Amino acid sequence: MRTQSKGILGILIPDGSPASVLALGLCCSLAVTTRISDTLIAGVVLIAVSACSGIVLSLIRKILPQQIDIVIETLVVTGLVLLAARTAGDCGWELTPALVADMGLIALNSVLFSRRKPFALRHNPASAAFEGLLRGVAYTVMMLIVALLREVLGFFNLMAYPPMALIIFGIMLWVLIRNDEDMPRLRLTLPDACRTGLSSFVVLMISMPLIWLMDRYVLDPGALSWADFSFESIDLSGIGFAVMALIIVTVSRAVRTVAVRTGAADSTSVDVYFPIISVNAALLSARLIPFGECSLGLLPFNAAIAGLACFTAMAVFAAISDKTAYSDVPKGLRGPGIAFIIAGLAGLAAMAFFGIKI
Amino acid sequence: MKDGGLRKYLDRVRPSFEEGGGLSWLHSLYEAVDTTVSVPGTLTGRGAHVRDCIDLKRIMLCVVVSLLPCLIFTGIAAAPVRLLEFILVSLAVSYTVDLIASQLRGRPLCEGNAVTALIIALIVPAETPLFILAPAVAFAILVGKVAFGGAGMNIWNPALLADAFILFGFPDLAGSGSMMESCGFSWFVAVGLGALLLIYTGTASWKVMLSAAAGALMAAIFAPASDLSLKFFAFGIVFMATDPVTGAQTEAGKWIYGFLIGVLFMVVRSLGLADADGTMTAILVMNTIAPLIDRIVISANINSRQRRNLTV
Repeated sequence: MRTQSKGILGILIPDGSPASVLALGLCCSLAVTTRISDTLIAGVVLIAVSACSGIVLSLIRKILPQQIDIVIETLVVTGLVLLAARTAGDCGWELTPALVADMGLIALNSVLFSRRKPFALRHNPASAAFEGLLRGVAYTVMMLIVALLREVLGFFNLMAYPPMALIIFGIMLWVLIRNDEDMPRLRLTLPDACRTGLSSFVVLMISMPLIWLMDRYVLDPGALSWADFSFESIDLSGIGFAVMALIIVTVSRAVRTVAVRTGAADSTSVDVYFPIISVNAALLSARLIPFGECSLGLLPFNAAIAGLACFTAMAVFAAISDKTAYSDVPKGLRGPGIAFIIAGLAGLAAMAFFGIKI
Repeated sequence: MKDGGLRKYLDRVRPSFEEGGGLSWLHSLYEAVDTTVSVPGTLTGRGAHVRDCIDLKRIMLCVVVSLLPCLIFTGIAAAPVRLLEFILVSLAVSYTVDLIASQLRGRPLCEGNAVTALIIALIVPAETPLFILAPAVAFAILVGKVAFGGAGMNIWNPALLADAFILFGFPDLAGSGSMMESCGFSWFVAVGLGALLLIYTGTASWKVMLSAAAGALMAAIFAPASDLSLKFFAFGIVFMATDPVTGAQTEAGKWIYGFLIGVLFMVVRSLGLADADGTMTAILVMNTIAPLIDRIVISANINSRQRRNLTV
């Protein structure tokens, strides 16, 4: 069994996943770290989900079809999140739909996206469960520290804003790692970033209308009444997030297959990460932008703007990381740490645009 | 030339600051004083480098001198004691943070802390309490500069990061405006003097200043007229947009970078965002994009040369 013996960080940053993947992966935890109570709930759910999904994925690893493995994995993880949320709700914990969606994003990132291949697909159920448990605890500890800092430092208005949480993540890595030489150094180069941005754009353009149609005609309360009037009382909006994730992952896999077939992308080891980035970008956009509320005519326009924003952000980030590659960045910050700080400061620079009015 | 007393004293105490000496934990402080007092004796010996005694420290001194008119004018027009307090606190905090960081990392002190501290004192809201100014400066130096490896490697202008920290962290303070606002038209004279000095010594790029002004003028045609003052903008494009580290570094890139600063400035203004003035957001956002602009300019250049090569 190949274990990482670097404590909490080895679990968080396994086998050389590029910094940007981790940065994106933790981005979605920003929403739940504004309040400690939310963070605690999300943490408990996350630990349960990552342990259980370890077992399930490990059990089905032999029969998983290659072509759609990521789709099935997503199905398992989101299903478990919904199950865990349901159980937590029955226990009397307060769970808003937004919180469930955020927890789902965190779980997807933690279990599936932060590695080249999920741990459970290479190990037996027992060790997969153990690894899932550790990983859940590690994520929860990170999130709790950030939530604590954000709550305690609430005196600083600034800490409530996502850019500051990213910067805190970066500083935490700086303090925790200090002298670790084995930090992943895989960099997102500009051409790769542009390809990734482009695929995010395509994924958004295709999946947003699908999600919109699903919401409108299947998931929303009473949406199924077009099929039969007796379905009017059905409200499926609870599983909306899972459907959204599935659509995006499926579209992304399809886009990638087409890109490889047509020779627009090759399947090198580096390339493996980029669908993950585009999935994350699309998931975040879908989560942040209220696509459901706009009319069908405006939908492509909104999706294009979100896609363009993803593309630009990718290119800008890659250009900056190329520049810092020649810098004397402190050891603990190399890799993921500086990625967090770059993302945070870029957010701070553009914060005036995020609708914060005085 | 015969060495003066200070030089001799520095040479005499050098051993105690070196490896194994009693004060070796203060080596970067010694190094900083030593290289400030006299140009270091070690110069690049080989390779195609400019061998000039105008090193980074001397350049930063040029900027400090160019800032003097602005500082004096603000001191006269606003509260001189308040300005002095701001300067002293920013200087003390920036040097302390940098000293601790560079000591821990075994690096020399960053250049340009003095410039950053002086600019911060001029641009932060006049009502900022000192206990808020101090963490803002510490944040700017630690996250904006030390994290990227020090002077010459930072992506964003540290002084503007401190300003952003205060503006977004304590929005109530923003209404008070910076101290420079109490100057009259004389402020533009002071900035102009500084600009002339910077351009004359070759420290700052006139291309950025000119294109930023042009960009703002162009955008002003479409933007609704605003009665907000242009003092911060004038100061910003002369002293902060021209920062050679955080701005675009290619010649064509400088024109684009400057122009977009001007345009973005007017856009932020007309949108009435949290940053009512707009200068800070314009420069910080363009700092973010500057590396990409440089990359695009460079690859366009490579492509055009390759094409030229093919046709010949």
